[in-house]
Amino acid sequence: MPNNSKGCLIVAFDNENHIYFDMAVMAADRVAKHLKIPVTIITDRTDGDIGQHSRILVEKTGGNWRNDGSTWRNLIRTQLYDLSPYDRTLIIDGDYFLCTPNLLPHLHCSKDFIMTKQVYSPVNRRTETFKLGNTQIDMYWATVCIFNKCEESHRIFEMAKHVQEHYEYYSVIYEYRRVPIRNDFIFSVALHLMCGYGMKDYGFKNYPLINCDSLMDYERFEDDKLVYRYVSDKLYANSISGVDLHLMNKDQLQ
Amino acid sequence: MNTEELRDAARVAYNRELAKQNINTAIESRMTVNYGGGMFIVTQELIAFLHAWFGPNWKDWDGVIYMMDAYDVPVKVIPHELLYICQKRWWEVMNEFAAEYEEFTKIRNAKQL
Repeated sequence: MPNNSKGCLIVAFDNENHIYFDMAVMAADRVAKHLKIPVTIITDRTDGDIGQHSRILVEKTGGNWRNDGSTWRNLIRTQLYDLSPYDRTLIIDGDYFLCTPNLLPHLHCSKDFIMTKQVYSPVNRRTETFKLGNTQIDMYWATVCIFNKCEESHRIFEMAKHVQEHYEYYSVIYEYRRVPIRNDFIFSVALHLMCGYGMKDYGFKNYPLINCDSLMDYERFEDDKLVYRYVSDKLYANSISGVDLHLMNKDQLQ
Repeated sequence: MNTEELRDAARVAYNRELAKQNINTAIESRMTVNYGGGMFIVTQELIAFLHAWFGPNWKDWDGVIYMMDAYDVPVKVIPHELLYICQKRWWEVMNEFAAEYEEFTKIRNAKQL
């Protein structure tokens, strides 16, 4: 791998209800189109066409139950520092659909570790930072993360592994729900501990995470524009475009 | 459209303020540039600050200054270079915004989305 290489990692482990692999390939195509960087999909599947992208085969990680009864295999996120073949890595979730090149300036800057913190809701039009548990520390979203192979990022990932290993203990200390295990919580705690109990900010600047969550019904998604419905005091419809979208309602994508 | 679809479309409301905020969010996310290994958020304040170096007393000045980028990393800056990049981005994004805003003003209800 050449020096100063930049690339993207997407993890895809299928479960009973969702074929994450296909979703990851769609997300990877969008990364290649908008950011023009190589993409590596980390998966246990040896079959399936990944087109121009690379694949790293790993064993399926342990299960983590969700309230919809499906197994959520998300416990590999803390190992991505070790698995990444790139010097500067972008990690995105398989349900994060790039519609713009807006991540490029963040990818080309020199900050060693960045993770999404601010969230914009296309339903209540607020941009805010969520708070974690009763201790109310800033919550980071592991959905999008950029890191350099460097000492600082290495320590953050090592701390995240430690928090994951002792998840129950930290859930008591920080007073958040113990199940299911969430990478967002793992990294929020790790970053809180690693940066002088919240003294340092690792959040993206000027790049809120656009969460299209269960409050929204996707009507259609075409030409990078999402038309959606939601219920407030009555039924509304609206659209959003020109931003990267975290399409969390996977059932509505298939 | 059949009757059922018409009835369905008629009962769906459209929130213009939300639509406007969606556009604003998209525009703000685009207002970033790279320079000297750093990332800067293009604002009116940044443009005015860089422009200030070319005031009457600084007309022929071609030196270097250090500025903190958006991630608090000090970056070596030749003001007129960064100013040019910022102005270019401002021009592109705001022109796009104006065009989008014009389209937005034509939308009066959810059926037009």
